[in-house]
Amino acid sequence: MGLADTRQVPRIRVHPQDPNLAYVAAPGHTFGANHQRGVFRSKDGGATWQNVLFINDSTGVVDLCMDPGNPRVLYAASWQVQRTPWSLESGGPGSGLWKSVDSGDTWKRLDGEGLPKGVWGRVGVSVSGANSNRVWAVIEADAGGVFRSDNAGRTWIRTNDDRDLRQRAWYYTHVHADPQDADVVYVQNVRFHRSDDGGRTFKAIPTPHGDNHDLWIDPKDPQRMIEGSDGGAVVTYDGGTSWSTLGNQPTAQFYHVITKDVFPYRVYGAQQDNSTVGIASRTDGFGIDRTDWWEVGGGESGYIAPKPGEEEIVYAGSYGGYLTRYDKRTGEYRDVNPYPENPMGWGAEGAKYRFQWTFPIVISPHDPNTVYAGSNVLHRSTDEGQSWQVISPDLTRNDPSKLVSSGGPITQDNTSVEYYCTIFAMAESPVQKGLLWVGSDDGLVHVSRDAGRSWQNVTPPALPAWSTISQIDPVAATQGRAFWILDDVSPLRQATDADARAKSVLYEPAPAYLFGGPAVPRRDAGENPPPGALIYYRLAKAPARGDTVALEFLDMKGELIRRLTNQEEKSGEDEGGGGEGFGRGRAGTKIPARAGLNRFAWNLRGEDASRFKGLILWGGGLQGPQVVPGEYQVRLTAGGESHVQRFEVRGDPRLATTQADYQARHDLLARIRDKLTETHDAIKRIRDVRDQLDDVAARATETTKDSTIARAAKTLKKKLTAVEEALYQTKNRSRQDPLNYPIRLNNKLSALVDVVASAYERRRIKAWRCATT
Amino acid sequence: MAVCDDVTGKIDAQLAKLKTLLEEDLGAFNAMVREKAVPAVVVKEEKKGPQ
Repeated sequence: MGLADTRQVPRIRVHPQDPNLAYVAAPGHTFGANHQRGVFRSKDGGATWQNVLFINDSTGVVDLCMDPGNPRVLYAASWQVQRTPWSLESGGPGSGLWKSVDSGDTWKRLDGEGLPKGVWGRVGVSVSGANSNRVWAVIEADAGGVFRSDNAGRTWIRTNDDRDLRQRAWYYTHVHADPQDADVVYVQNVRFHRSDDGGRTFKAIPTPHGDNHDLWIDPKDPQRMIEGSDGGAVVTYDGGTSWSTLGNQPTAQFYHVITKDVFPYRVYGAQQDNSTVGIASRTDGFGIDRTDWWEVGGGESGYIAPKPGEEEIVYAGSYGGYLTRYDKRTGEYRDVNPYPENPMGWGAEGAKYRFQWTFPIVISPHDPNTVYAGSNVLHRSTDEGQSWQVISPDLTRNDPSKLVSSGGPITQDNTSVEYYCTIFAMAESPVQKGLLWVGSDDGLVHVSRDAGRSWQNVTPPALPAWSTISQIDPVAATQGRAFWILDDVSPLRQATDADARAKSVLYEPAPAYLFGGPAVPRRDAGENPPPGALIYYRLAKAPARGDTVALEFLDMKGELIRRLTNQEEKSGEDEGGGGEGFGRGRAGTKIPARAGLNRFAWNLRGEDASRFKGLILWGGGLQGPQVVPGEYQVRLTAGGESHVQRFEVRGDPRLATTQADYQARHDLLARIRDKLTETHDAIKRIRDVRDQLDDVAARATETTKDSTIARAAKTLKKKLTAVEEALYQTKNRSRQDPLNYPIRLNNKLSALVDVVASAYERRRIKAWRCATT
Repeated sequence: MAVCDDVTGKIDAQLAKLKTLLEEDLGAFNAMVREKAVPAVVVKEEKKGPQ
């Protein structure tokens, strides 16, 4: 027996001496009754589990603690809770406090003097590490608050009833005893609170993010804590005076993903208890980091709609019917709520228009100034949100039994999350203007063919009643952690069953752009897709040792631009070329050749300039010139088979650079590359001749006992070395040596490579000229 | 003068020098080696290293 049906697990407690003995708290299913809930125990390191505390099928256990002084003693907090799309009910006869003194074999419900009477809701519980008799509880109840027992749970006193500590009880209700000081206790809520006086008074400790939910305190040094909130986890070493950053963990939970077709395309989303984000899908830099995203208005929960043709203008929503129009150019935020009546605290029955927590916001594909927003009716603005018209009747089931205040039996909680019978999805046909589709969270689909003048209920008969229509769109969206982009779906589109039987397959590459920074995996930033052309090929089996798999890149005349194989390049004299600067590695000189699908990112460059052993350059590079926009071919040769595919290389569409500009840049870079190769080949020749001169001089001296030849060799070597030293700074041994030993002609030339590569206009390129080739 | 022309001009001057050295100077040197009849290959005695 495992934990197959427990779903959420808010607590795991492990015996301090026996790592195979563990306990799990299971609150049960959120939306319905089930049996796998309560406390589960494993004695075999998690291989099997036993349900040692079960209350009933609508009550689970939400908190669980072990007495640090006696791990046989356990306290559990049971919680009767039920969600529906239109309600959350926290509390009932199942909620309570439980204790076991025999490692979970038997449990007793605590009902001692001092505990609140009546119905309980959510409960949190913690035992002091300094005193096993001191137990803390936070209890949702009419007479709830922070409670303390000094006799291991037999009797209790309420030490504090501040609402700061128990507001929104279903969401918070967390208590943590200090492991060393019996009078210190922490209570988490919107803010993070600490008491130093046995729970009588509490002070808020600032944390980097609100909505605090969990805490670990180092038992050996209670100044060290890890605090969990809706923003992530932060660490303190000084009792909460300072905290580590939230900006190092991919914790964003996006409600929706919206893309905008600019170059490079942008991705938008609103993240749970945080901001909205607009972010570049790729960059020219070393990752997609903080400088590549910005807030676009709205709030945590909403849809986002960038304006077509004016991508700096973005509409974004949030709960409470909030809707903003943000202009990134001017920084102007404009509230353009269709009906700006704040609904907080009111059930859906109190709202004139029911805007769901995450209500749809859609821009007409036919008119960028027309914006649609859905409540229980459809709203339309034709002037960028300055004024709104209602263009539909209520398009939901409008069931009064489901339009009631959410919460109870103790605490009400109306944020509009539970607003039901609302429009949850909307789309206008991209083909036919005024053809509007609307789907509701209670399972109705309506269509209007006359821009909202009349509506027809077109709910499919087979659709189960009360289904939620969450998407009327061809784009898939998911609520997950961070944004994930599948960079290239080309091989998926082309793959067939026959591929699996073929010896080798070369897929048609997607168009490649002369744009993009390197793909560097980073913990603190998004990773760019590999720049260049992504070549996918499939091999039935890996080549035998010594067999060559080759990729050749050709222009449309069949002229070879670059050839790459699965073989290691010769080392030795070809080593070198390291220099100051970033991203100058010899990326992509060996192609993968594994059985199955392979991917190689061609950097769109021709052959590099030649290099020699020990070469050190300051700036500049040996990289071959990038090709110009146009059609190209790639040829895969493997196991006696050969396949050719065509693909397109495109310029950066944001630039005014013409084909002639790209050509001029390419030609100058090619000339520089050729001259560098000529220079480096000359250096290699000088070194080779010098070695031979040494050899023959030694032989002559030994055999003829005459130093004439040795002297002549020395003279010639000196002349050759003078040329070498004019071409290259031979004293270089380490990367920053060029600051000590001045760079020579080869480096003066290679340093021009970056300068020329950054020129997108012929006039600039002409200014440098390079007539002598 | 444009920078690229300047640098490549200086490189070409060095390459021209090298061409002269490899054709004329090296030619003269090789003639001298022939004249002195330096053997192409000699058998070297194994040098004894420290024990």
